[in-house]
Amino acid sequence: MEDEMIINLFCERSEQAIRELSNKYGSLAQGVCENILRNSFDAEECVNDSLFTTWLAIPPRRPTSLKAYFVGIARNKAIDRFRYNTSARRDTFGDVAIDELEEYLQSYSSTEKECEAEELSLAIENFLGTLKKEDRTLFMCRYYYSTTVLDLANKMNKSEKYINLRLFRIREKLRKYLIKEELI
Amino acid sequence: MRRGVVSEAMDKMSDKYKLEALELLNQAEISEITNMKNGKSTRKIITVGLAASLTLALGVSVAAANGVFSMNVREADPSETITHIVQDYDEESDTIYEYEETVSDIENIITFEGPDSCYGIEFKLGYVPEVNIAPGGEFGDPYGWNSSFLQFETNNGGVNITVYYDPQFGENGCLFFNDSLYDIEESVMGEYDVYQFSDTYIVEFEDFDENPDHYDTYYTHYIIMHHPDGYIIVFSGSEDMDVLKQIAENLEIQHTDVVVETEDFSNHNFSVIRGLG
Repeated sequence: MEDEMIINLFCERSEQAIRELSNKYGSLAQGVCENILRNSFDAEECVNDSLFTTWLAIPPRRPTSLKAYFVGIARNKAIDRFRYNTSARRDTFGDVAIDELEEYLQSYSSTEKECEAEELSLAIENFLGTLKKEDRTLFMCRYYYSTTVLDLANKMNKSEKYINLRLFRIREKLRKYLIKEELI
Repeated sequence: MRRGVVSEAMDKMSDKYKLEALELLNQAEISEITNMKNGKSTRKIITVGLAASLTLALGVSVAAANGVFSMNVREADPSETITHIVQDYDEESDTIYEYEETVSDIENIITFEGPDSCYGIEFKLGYVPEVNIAPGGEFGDPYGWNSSFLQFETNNGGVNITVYYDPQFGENGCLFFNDSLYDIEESVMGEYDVYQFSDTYIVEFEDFDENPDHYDTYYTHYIIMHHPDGYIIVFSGSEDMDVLKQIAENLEIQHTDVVVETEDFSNHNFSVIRGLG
């Protein structure tokens, strides 16, 4: 079913909307959540929560891309859940991928400079526009969707070492870009 | 930067790149690459530009059992020095001799990581730029197969093509450059990591009184490393970058059964040769 039709079902308050959304993007969202949580049960709960959140949000909201919107909600719920789990030491398998980037940039950041998320968001988006599609995709998969390096290596038919190397170079380029923009 | 701000910033980004990334996450994994042959390589001839897809199609890769190689580029520390072995020609005795030289003022250093052995290659030009080869003026065969080095003259000067192997560099060896580099670009071409840049070499006229007493020569360098198989090919010369790129993209490669190992080499540092001479 087309996204537009699913959104219309939400607007009509038809519960079929949830089934269609779940059928179409449920497994994609589940994959993203599992990458973050490493736990299929927790991931499933996040996806179910996301279906409910979407139900509450549409209407009035009418997202341009239902796919990005729904997977984005699921991703945020998984990160919240991850941080809840790890802060209470309920689960300590490691950091979520975004922390890898955050800590890297943090170490170069001066205490005087405090940039806001909106400003940084725009800068990252502009920076991504300067990269090749492959590098952009790698960056987003790793730091937005928390895809593991092994998964990225398999999907791109490269070695893990290669993926790590590319991610390192992208982080370095981003760091230089943010310094140039005086954001860190 | 306050903690959480990067995550928040990523979340606030428009859908454009989020959707682009989801395309990859929707793709089925290519996992059959591990079904490669583990034994010695059978001969294969591939062009560089198509290497990635053909390697998959043929199902052979000499590095399947060895792991994967990688290239790292960094700026040299101002105080850094490198010792390497220089080969020179003695006209009187008509012999080639070697001496050790320690070099400072290094600009960039390229290092390589990977296993201690890989298989050798031979290469042949698939694209021959307009050449003006003086008889005996070239090293190697611009129209045939070459194993490690090819030098030929073109209408704009000349081109050097040198093959290196990751094991050749040992643990701490490198390729290094003494001149200021500019127009540096890094990219990926199939399974090749590409590093390209230009430099200006100042040629001094020590023996002449006339002015000017020096001139700048413009050189281009195009370096490719094949990640799975561990070989590196350096294209350098006074041709435009587009020409070097075209040579690289059309280069034919065939694997040999010769195993290249670190212990075969006593010298692990190499200064990149520019043009002819």
